[in-house]
Amino acid sequence: MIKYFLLLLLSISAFAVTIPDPFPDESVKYATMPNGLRVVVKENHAAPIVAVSVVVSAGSGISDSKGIPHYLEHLSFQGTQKYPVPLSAQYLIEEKGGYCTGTTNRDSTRFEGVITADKIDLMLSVLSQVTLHPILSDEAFERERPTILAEIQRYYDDPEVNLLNSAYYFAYRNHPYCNPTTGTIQNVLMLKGEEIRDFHKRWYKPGNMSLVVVGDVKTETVLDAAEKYFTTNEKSFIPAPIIKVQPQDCKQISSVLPTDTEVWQAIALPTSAANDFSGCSTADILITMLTTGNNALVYKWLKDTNITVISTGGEYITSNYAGRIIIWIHTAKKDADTAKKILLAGLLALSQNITEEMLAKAKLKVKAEYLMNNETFARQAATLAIYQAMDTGQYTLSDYIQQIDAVTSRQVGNLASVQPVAIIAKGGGR
Amino acid sequence: MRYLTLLILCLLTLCAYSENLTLTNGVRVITRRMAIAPIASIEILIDYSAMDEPAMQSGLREAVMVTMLKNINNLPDIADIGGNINVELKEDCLEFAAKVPANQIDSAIFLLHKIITNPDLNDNIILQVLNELAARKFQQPDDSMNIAYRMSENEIFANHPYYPMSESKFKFNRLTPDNIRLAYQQYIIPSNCIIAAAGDIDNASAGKTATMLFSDWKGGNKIQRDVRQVQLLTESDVQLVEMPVNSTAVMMAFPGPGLKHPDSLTMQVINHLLSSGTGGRIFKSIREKQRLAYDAATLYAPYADGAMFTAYTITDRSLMERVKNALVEELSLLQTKEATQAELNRAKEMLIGEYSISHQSSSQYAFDLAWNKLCDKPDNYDEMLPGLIRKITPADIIKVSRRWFTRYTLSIVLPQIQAEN
Repeated sequence: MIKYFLLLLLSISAFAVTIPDPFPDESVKYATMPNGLRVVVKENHAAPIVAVSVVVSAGSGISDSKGIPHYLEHLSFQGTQKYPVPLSAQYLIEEKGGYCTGTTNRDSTRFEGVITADKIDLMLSVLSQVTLHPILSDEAFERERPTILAEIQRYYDDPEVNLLNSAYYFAYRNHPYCNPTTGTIQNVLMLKGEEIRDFHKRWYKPGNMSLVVVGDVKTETVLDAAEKYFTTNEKSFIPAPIIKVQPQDCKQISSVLPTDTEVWQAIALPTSAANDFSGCSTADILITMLTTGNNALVYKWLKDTNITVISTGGEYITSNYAGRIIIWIHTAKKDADTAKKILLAGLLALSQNITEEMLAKAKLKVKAEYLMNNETFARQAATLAIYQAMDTGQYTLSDYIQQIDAVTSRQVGNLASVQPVAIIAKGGGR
Repeated sequence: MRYLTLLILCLLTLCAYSENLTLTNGVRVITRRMAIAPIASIEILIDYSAMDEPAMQSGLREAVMVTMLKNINNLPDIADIGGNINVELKEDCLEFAAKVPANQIDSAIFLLHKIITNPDLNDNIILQVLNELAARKFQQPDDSMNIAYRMSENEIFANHPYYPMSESKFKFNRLTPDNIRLAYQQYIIPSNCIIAAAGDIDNASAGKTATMLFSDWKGGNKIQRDVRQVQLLTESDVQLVEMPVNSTAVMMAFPGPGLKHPDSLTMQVINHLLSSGTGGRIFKSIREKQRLAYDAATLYAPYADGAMFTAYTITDRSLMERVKNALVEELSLLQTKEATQAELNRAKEMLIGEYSISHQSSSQYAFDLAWNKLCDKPDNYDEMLPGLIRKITPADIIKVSRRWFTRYTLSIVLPQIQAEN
């Protein structure tokens, strides 16, 4: 009897489910140090672990960056004033059972790590050294170049990375966002150590950085440590000038050879910048409807027409200037043209046919994914750091769920019917 | 007075609840609370190994699993409660997992219970599954690294049921609905079932839900398995292929101990000694000292009764020979020179840290709990593990290296010349 009661509960609960917010308002504390460093702490004492992220609001989207932010991220670990031996700072963390690493994206560069809570002082010491006091010698610069070239070369083998790089290139024409975050091989071959040092001097200032700590720690401990390790005599920071993304027509590019048997295609739709929270929430709902889960519309549209679908997917990167939704489909070559037509027609039809039930399900899915993607301390720290590095205007992370709830089917429909800015096709397969 | 007695009884029941219990029908239930985020994961492993498949019926396990999954069409969609289900055919077992917001854990257990214990095994459904599986197309690996990995598996697991689990060797059209029904009756049984729940859960409550749902499930006795260990190679060999790729992959592979083998933990430390983080020998030698590649690492992911240990790099064609020599040198050195205490401690602490950090993910934690149980580890294995790892000595490293790093298969995938142009 109880079993059937459970089934009943499950079947009626679909639209009554409350998805918990991973960042409820009261859980996150914000402070700003006198030198402009923003400090964010989310205490959670469920496990004796801390995750720390130091984010610098300078990524590959800085004008003429040419791969410098990514190169600098590598070099930062190749010796600092306190830990001069290459990689010794990371080694110290590893000896204590933790890890630390770096990530470059378009709007920011993050240096982050996870360690047992009793070693937080060491982690903060290491991350302050890596961000504020790297040596950046010419010798280290030259030594690192082959490694970075090998990293870029490796990406050329991944058709999805290739497709997305092309999609960004044509979706952000005449804007620094068009470049891959690593820079190109040509960029890296041309770079000089001086350019890296200049970039560091210009952008790696406490006023352009945030320190985020999540886990088994007291807020006061973090504030004390921030003062101990991140105090500098820097003057006030001058932010980067805004480079607007200009409106653009749709560019269609195809590079499919007669010998190819499969085709990867991407469609890029223009969306809002990060400071338009409502627009970003709308984009999150649309990309979820189109590409997430068993009932993803793009997959369904193609399958219903008997197309040989190898895979489908999408990504939506919110950015400081203007976002792009990228939807990609991977099909047999013979089906590629039909698949593209079905996708474009599907988007147009969707703009008129979003029911309240579809919208409610998509919202639930977006909120659930948001929760699931922020399960660990490391993920929570990364999310908080990414938000710190973005210009989200008057909104904070705790407004997100409310914004999702407020999106209407008309908003999602309008976005689905927007003119793409790029349609890319790339061949491959054997 | 009556209410007081009832209250005391309830309290006693709660206090008596164990985080590890075995139901009378043999189902094992493990629950662990770890409230990092309001999320809960359920992991159900069915101890039905590739070694249980008769030689002429390879693919049988997958057909059983997919048939069971068809039942999902008759159930509420887990996405409607904000969760997801993940079902996977593994070398040693069938995996049914769900991840949900913590307040939906009972619903998740209920859904998995329905999928596992109450599938529709009528002819129409089974024939539909067999046709779908037979018509399935497999995507070939695109990058040099995955091609090399596939080549290595082919050699290390030659003629072993662990490989390949999917693809062309399967002859689904040889299978009949009766085969599927019989396999279900023989292997999808309570005594083969391990349930683990982890995350922001109440241990007693999750355990009770699992008990309530699974205690009525009936099934036959466990069938004894003819375990086949993965064998050492009889001789070393080199395989070299040219493919339309951009990077060169060099991969050295050895058979390795399975998780049930006493050498397994030492092998995990060796893996960290060689490659984890920035202090690993292969990373230091190939990437930092010689600058031969960006990726230089080892991989050891043991199955229950065997494994493949690989050391690999992705590099440029012109550096292939140097990379190969560097890999051989590092693996030889391991057998002749004792690791220093400092580097061994780094490897051990990283392994311990990695394990505990990964358990912030409720799904990983639940999987490890169930998987350790399936591999006959003690109930408190996750608590014992740091102590066991710290006991490993430099002499153990030499001994285990000598036992396993003898003959190898070297797989090299080169870009075709025209692809370079």
